Amino acid sequence: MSSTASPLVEASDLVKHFPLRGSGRLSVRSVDGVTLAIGRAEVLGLVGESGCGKSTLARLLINQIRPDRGEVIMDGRDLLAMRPGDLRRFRRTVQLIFQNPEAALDPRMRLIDSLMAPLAAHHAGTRDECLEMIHAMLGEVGIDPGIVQRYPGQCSGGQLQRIVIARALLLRPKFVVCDEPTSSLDASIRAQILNLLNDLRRRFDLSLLMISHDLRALRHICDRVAVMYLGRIVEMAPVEQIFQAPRHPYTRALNAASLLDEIGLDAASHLVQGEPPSPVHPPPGCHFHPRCPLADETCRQHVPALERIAEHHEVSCHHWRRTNP
Amino acid sequence: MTTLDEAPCLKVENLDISIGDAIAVARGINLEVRRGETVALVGESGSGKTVTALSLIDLLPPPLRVTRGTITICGETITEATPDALNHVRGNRVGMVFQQPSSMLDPSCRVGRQVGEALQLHKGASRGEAFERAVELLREVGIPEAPRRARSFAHQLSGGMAQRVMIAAALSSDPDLLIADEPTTALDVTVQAQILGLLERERRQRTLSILLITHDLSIVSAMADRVVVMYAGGIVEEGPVETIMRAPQHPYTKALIDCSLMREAGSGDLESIPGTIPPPNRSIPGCRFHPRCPHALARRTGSVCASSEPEATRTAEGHLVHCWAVEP
Repeated sequence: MSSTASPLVEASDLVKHFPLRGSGRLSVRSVDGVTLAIGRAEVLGLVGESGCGKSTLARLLINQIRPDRGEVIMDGRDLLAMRPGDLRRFRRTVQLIFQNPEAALDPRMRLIDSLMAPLAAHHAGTRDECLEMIHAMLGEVGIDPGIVQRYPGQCSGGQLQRIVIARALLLRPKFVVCDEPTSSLDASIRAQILNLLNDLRRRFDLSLLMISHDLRALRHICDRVAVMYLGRIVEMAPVEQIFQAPRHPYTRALNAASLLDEIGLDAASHLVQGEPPSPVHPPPGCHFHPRCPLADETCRQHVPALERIAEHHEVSCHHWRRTNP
Repeated sequence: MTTLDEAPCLKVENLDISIGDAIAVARGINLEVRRGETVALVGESGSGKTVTALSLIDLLPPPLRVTRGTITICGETITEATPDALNHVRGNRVGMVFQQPSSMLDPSCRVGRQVGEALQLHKGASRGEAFERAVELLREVGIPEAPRRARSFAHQLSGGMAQRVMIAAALSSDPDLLIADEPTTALDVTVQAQILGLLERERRQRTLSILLITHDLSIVSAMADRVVVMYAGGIVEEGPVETIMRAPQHPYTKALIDCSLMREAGSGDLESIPGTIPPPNRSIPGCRFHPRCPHALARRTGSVCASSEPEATRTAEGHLVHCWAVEP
């Protein structure tokens, strides 16, 4: 759990709008005022449907894109005020793991060269030292060093995801963003990769941001979960709280949708109506109100604040008191 | 519900599908879908479930082809049918829903036209009648402002709406059998429940038979009457949904359910299956699952698992298991 020590990553009031080309003043409001913190060695899950801004938020946190507003403090330092040299050193300490390992590895490079690239870019040592580091890391992720002379096309998806994880950890980062790391994998392989990530984060004291649209995949690995809807965080709580006592109607709907077998089709299909609206024209007031079974006039007019309703439990809903856990 | 003596809506016997003549991607498939029944065909990628589905209405892309076996849909034997007879079955008996609605709909044709197309081709409807009926169908599948929506193009629809259009098109010719290949995999989770609810409602209203292809076991338990589990091109187990989900017999089915994240999260590691699914061009003697199988029999060197393929064992009415370690 998050300790009393200062968090590793602190974001406050992040806003990122992407202008729509050729449409005058319209823009995609990907991230619309997000405040969150990730503790040292903590795993925060970020869940939401496609287009809700979760990947954009992750890219803001690691300074891959700059926000329109807000700030990101990492390890006590202001990320947005860093000079190029500092930024380069900072980049060693954050890494990304993507959804599709086939796309994250150059198909024309042998795996060993893909693994060598980040070490070379950061002058991590002589070629022999680097090879040694790579071999040690391959052992950590459970890959036979024999396969590194292959090309990505000669390996399975599970093997490639292990290679991608090894590459991300080679520079000993403090913070790793995993963007849907298991969505493209089969069930039997997904469990292997989730176990591996869980194991590695303990051994390397990693802080992880685990992005997913699947609450179930998060349950196994996260300490806390943040639920995002149309650019805003609607609920944030320890993982068991999200599963057993969710308060936001959207979290409840997501939860039900991922537990189809337990609650049945009828119940699941009535908890939420319609589809996510476009982030170009988000509804006024609470973004969720057109789909919400609890919505009333207040919801249509006023944006609910992210309210602390218990220790470590925040909800952004006018009616959270009415949603009995 | 179903009656046993009625002829099944779909019957597949001893079906083999190969790439050219050499590489078998599906072997010895036996499948039956009765009237008004939902059968789920479950497996990981590479298990052969999609090629099996495509073969049912002769849609296999070359060089994939059926090399053995028979397929019968509503009394018509597909594997021996003339092109005309085949077209008749496709147009009147079977509807198909695919995973990616946006890439299956014609981007240059208004969706109302597409939904009504089968009525014009197979039911002799005029263009105007077909369009009118299409609007009704769009309304039936829950598309708001159906008359206006019927005039829009596929790219103007959200993923969930596009999938509703696909379902309306599949239902337009009032089919007996609906083949749904991962119908909700490309959709958001909250929309998934709505689409599955729609399929279930249509099944009840029309006494439709559904062959549902999926990798998601929570969808299986919510939708299916019977389950057929495939692994590396062959069926490993089949039976009623309660039996398969509560008391699976095949080690692969057990492992698949254990690693599906459906169970309450424990403190320890998730169950997982060691190794990976073999590609179709790798020949594995005996049971295809034996190199990954946790069962002691499979681990013993020179055991029957590594030398000959297991026959189906019937453990209860309608429950078949292809495993040497299972006693009848």
